[in-house]
Amino acid sequence: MVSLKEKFERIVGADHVSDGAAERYVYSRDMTENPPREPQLVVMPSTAEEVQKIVRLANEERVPLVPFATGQSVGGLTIPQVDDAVIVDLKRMNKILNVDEEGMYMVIEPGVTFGHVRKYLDESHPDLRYTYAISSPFTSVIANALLQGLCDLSTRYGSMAEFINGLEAVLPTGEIVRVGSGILGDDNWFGRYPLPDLVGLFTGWQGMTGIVTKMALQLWPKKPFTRHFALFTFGEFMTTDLLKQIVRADLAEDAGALSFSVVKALIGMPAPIEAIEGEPDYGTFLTLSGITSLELDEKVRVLKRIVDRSKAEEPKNLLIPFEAVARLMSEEAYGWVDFPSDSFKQLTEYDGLTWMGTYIHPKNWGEALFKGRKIVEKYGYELMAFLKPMKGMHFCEFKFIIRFKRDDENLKRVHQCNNELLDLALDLKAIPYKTPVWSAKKLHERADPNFIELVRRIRDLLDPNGIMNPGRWGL
Amino acid sequence: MLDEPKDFIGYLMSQLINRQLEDPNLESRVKGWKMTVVLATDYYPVTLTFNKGVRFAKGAASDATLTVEMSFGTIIRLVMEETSTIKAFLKGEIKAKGMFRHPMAMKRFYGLLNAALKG
Repeated sequence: MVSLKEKFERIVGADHVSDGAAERYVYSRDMTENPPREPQLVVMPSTAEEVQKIVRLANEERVPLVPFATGQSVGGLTIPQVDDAVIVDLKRMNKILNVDEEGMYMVIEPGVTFGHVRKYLDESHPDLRYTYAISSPFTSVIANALLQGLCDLSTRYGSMAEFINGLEAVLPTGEIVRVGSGILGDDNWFGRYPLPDLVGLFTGWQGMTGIVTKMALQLWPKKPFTRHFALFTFGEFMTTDLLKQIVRADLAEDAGALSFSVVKALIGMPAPIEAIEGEPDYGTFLTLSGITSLELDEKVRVLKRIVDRSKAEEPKNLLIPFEAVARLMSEEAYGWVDFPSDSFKQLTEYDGLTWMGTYIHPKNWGEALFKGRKIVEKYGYELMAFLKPMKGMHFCEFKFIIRFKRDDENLKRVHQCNNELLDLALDLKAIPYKTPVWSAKKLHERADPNFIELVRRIRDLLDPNGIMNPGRWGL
Repeated sequence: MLDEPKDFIGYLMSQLINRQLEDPNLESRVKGWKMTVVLATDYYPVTLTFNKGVRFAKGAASDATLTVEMSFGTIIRLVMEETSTIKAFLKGEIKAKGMFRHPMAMKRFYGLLNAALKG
């Protein structure tokens, strides 16, 4: 009798399958408060064909599969929701397959990280730029795109799912499919239209509809002139109103606002960080760019005018050239705006990290921030909000991050705090993203039931044996 | 060793001044100073107490030797060298109380502030 482990070993080799206690422990949890659950096995394929064989075997054996890219999710998204799951760790699939200079896209595998892309483009295609997520440099680019996450280009272009030109996936029934213009062959991943847009069958599904093995993602020309600023502001409504003006004027390539406590963490202040009366409430990092210095100078001039105008209401609002920030803090400060993922290591001060994040209508942004702040303060956690204007101000993002010590009392309290934040968000018709299961279930209670039923039907159609990440998204 | 204040301006000033005090000659001189300076910014005041070193505290000491008023924006302009302490003083962007009674304290503090902000 051949064991399940041996069957997987025949597909990927004995070195790439483990049922060891250490591996099962590591893959059973993340830094969040979401409850852990151990998988029975971890398998690490290196090709789409191996993934296909894994999925076919899982169908034969009725074994649940949980796709896993690089494990940087903060939302319990790779924690199995059922017993005896097999984690399909895609880290070995880490090739940048192609960069098309003329079409400005790259084709990559799921184990490729933001750090890989940055290095590769800098060395091989210096006129093109990609982006970075607000997470560690080890984060999978494909995972962030599939989860509709944000990045430093989201202020202008929206969620990363919108950057996808097409993809290749292994369906839950084992077929390898392509969507997007790549259906006409390689070297043709220029876009998603005019076709039925089936990229949406994979984005936002948290791995329930297949395992993506390849993705084409847009790149952008690197503009030769760039300047960075820090903007200190006061009050939730005044801050969001000012950001709306700046982004609607199409001045900023990127705008990321942080509670001032995060700014204080960045400059090296030790935890726990208190919000002190009189300090600014928010620090926003702004990136402006231009094809010419003249274009950039003009954008800077308009930005200064907008900020100066805001001083009629709040004289202490202050726009600070990043050169001053670097002189005050050290040259390391450029790391916050150039590739800031690594600077967010402060968030892992303790062994617990969680957040409740949403995309929200601009009209409700300030209120969400104002009321969310009260909730976090009530629970006594550090005030660590992160907000980003999205897609030229068509919508907005806000999240409250909590770093915490993982003891029983904190796990309970953090969950309560996130629950209250989610209730507030849903009251304001915000859509939570990268949702853990408990959060998705709350969304289901308020959402149009026909939408939830449609999601369920599509999932059942694609995955008749229910093997792909069962229980995920509360389904 | 300086205290690490919990507030932004106090922390920033402590870091900047600490960098200057890496010069052992200056550190030795500063250790001999005995004065209390309130740096009153538009955000909030910070008190620097010089007494065998420097301590920082949020708030304004009532017994300050000197009170130096300037906005955080002026601090940034000094850092960017868009102005100097003299120019800012002459333009009224920096105001000082106690400078005539304690000219040496004023000279010492302005010298240290200038060096700290210019790195």
